[in-house]
Amino acid sequence: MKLRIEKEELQKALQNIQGVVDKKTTMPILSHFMLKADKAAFIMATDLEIALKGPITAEIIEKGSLCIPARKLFEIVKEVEGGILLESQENNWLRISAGKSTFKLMGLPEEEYPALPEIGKTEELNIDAGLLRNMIEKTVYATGDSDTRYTLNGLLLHLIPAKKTTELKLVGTDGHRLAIISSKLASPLSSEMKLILPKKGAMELKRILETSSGTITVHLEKNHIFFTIGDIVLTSRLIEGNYPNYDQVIPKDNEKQVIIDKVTCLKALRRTSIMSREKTNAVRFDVEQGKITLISINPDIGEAREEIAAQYKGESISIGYNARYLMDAIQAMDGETIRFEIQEPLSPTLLVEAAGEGAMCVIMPMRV
Amino acid sequence: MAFKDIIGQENALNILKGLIAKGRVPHALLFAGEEGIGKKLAAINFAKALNCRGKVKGIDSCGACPSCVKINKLLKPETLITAGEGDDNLKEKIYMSHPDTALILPYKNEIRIKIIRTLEEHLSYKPFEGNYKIAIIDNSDEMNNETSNAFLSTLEAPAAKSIIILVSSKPGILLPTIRSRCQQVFFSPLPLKKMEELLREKVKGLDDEKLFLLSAVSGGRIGYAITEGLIEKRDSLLEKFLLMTGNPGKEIWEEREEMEEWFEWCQLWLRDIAVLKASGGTGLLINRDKREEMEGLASGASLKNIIELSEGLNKIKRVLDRNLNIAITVNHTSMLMRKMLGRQNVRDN
Repeated sequence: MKLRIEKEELQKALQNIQGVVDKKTTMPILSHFMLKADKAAFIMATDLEIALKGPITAEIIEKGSLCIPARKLFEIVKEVEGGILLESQENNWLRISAGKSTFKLMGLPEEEYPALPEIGKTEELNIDAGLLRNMIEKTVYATGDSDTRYTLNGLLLHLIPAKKTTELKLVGTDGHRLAIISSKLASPLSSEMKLILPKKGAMELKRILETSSGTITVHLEKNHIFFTIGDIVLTSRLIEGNYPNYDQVIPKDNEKQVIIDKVTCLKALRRTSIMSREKTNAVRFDVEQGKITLISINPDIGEAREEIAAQYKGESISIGYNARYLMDAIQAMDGETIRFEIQEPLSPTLLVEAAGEGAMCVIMPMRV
Repeated sequence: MAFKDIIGQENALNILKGLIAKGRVPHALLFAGEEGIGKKLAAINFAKALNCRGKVKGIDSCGACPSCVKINKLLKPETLITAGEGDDNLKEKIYMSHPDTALILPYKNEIRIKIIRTLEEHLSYKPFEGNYKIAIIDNSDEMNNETSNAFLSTLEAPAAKSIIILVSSKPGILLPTIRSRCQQVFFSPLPLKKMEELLREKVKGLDDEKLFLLSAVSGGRIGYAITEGLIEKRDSLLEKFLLMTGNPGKEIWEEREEMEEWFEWCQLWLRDIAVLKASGGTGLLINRDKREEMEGLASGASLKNIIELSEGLNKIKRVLDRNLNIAITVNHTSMLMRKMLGRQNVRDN
């Protein structure tokens, strides 16, 4: 393999995969990325959870492939100037020359790199980049973090086929709260599917979608999901197992409905939660006709109280929440107001977005 | 390297092949049998066969496809880097050369709970490039209680497409709750005749007497029989055995490992002594070439005492890794041997 690449191009490409190249050393080769030059050149990196593959503009002098330590090459590329010549030599050595400097870097053969499946002739969906980004943003905050119930460490993609369209539901939950959003896609699908996308995959996808627009293609394989965004392909391994039945958790026919201004509520929560216990973050909502009083009491320090206006016409009710969960949910939602749907002080509360796609979040209340 | 290269374990291999052929590979297996007879080798080749992408006749692995080449590296884990290398805090020894196959070894004679957590996470995903996610836990009897108990739920119902293979030469030490969750595959030592045949093939230029000795002394463990200097090792350890019945002095063993080995070998000699005592003849001896020594040892002992000594030495061996004081151990062992072998007065002479 022999190719000439501009410094900026290589630096940009390496920058993009930094988040994917593994720092842990369970498998030493994962600190490498694969550079392959055939008709065109591309680079690929994986941490066994997600994989990123993208083209790189290069003048190909000789075809070939090599796995290169990502961190070291990135450091080299940062310091050198002008065009860079990459040349593979015997025993997987890589010779890097730029200007008057040359480097030799120990590489590994392509065969040792985890073999990523190719996109086959499987189910394919098209989805607007902005919409998908928005949907991920409004659900991913509720997913679990290294939970031993592994299915919760990912985002559920529930695809329900209808006539010529498909309903896509995204669900995230950590057992204490659940965020859900649904949208209609124009592409058809043959059968219902439930896939669990790991949190890291969802976050990386969101990051890439932030700088892209237009339509992206999603390919669904048995074990992987592929997102084709322009010329970049993001692959994510799926999580094994059955996702909990989320529909059961969403409270229906809620009598008590409270409409609150989003910004006012968020600010009041931030202020009152200063005084709540750090571990629980508990804030009590005393809901009365036309207003809510937010109260947090910490016997060791003191207490905080704030009154905010709300549209509500029912009997008074007192209910406690983890302020962080409320803030996460409210922050992710669009529009000026948020609708709280409450049943009993100890049964789950449903937060509904007033504008946008109608994102919802179910939050388990606390005993206060 | 493939199934066909594993010597003398037809029974176990047939079971494994049958499982693959029927497509009914259980999610938890326990490979049990003496040390040095190819359990880990079989486990690695089982993993290869399950994930092989090449074409081979029958059920086996091709050994040449990228998947086989990657898994093959697990045969020499010392050449792979692992998490925890040089970092005592991690205390992990997990090797992966193939994204779906992991080999776990004890770290400082212990398998800790943290590694099980890592493993569980690894199994929670769908396979990356193979058909199955496989975890091989070698010397699995070194899982501590905490680890074993944390492992139970995973072992009972791991994520789909997961196969956990526990390898152990001391399956009896595993918690019964662990054992009952695994399908056990037994690997047995080879019979004497088969060993002699194999050794004749493997090692050239051995006379019949040497063939018999290697086959018998190694206890049917082919891997052990072909290690270099086995007979010399026996000779030097037997010398120490004789020394122990007299006045051994403090520095009889150079290192701990040798001491542990010695306790293992003791059983072999005690067996011979007991045979002499019980049958009165030398026909069934293993250490035929050391007949005189054996007879000498047998002379002053009763069968009951020999068996008692065997149990006593076993007991000491079991607690060896608990940081015993070497000098006291030597003294105690020597005293026990003198008493049981009827050599009470040796010291006085």
